[in-house]
Amino acid sequence: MTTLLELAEGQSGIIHKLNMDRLLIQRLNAMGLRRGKKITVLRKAQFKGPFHIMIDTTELMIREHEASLINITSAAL
Amino acid sequence: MKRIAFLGMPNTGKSTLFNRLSGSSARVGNWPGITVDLHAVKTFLGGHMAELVDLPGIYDLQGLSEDEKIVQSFINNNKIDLAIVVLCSTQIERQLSLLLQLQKLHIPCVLALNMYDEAKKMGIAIDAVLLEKKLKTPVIKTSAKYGEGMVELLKACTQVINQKVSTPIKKIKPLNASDLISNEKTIQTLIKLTVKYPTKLNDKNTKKLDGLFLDPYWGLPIFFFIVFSIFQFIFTLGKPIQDLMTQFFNFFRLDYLEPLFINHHGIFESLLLDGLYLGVTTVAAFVPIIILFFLL
Repeated sequence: MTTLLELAEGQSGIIHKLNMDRLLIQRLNAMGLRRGKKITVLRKAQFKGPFHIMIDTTELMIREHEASLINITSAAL
Repeated sequence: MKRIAFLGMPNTGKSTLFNRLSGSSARVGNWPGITVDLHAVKTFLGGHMAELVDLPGIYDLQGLSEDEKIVQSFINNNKIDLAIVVLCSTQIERQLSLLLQLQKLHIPCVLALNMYDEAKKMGIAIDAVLLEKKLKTPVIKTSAKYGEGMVELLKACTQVINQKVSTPIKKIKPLNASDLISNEKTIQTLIKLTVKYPTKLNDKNTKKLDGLFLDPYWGLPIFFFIVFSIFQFIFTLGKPIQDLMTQFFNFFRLDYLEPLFINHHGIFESLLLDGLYLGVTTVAAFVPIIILFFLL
């Protein structure tokens, strides 16, 4: 099992689990991050900056810490 | 008096739509969270006086943020005759949940598929007629920015407002896990039936610009260059106007004000001219530049 943290720029994975408290899960769900969804890392900012990610048609920025809480399984690109 | 509330996720165009329908000018911008309090405007709709209320954007009815609390207490403490649920058509697959949550409370809804022009551009097609049938709620394609779909939306609102409501509106209660899962399933079925995505999204321009502005090395220099250019532009334009105003103020002082004090030199003249007049006019000379900044 890997987390979003381990994906390189341009790589995708399937969300397996959101490892955080309920409220944050609810918020991320509303933003489109749900179990089974394909998630793509578009780019990572320098100096441990945020991750620019894409789920369906939604693009988001999340911090490295939150990225480390998202478990993913690898997906065919 | 009928109460009509605009509800939707952040940055879906609620305020733009609100301005269109109410003829008011709430502040809008292309980033989420602009509306942090309630704007209300009274208007005439479908044979009733109606109060349109623009609410802050929320992700769901459960959240704990300041905005979400405002909306929750508004829903719980006010009788809402109609909720215009605004969603961004390009993100319909994750924005329908709010509508389902509102329907569970028995609030009469009209769904506005806003930014439909953008969805069309991206190659996304939504079957509004079928969606309307499945949701048992009027669904209108709109583009608040370009004023498309406004007539249809008003018609749908009028119809819903004039319906007799039989079921009383419930208060918000926490969703449990099974509610969430069943909502999720409903949405996925609906999306499969009514939304057609292109095999490849047509968002090349956004991608290209992102690639340029978010480049790890060139991004910041480009950003500073743009900000510097705006600054330069405003000063090149504003400086001559400022100089002209300063000249005028000086001329006015020498020719009209100083002669008034010809017999009263001293501290009183200094207070009025060097203090008050000079102070006010120095600041006033900056006004053109401030206005330019504001216009940009």
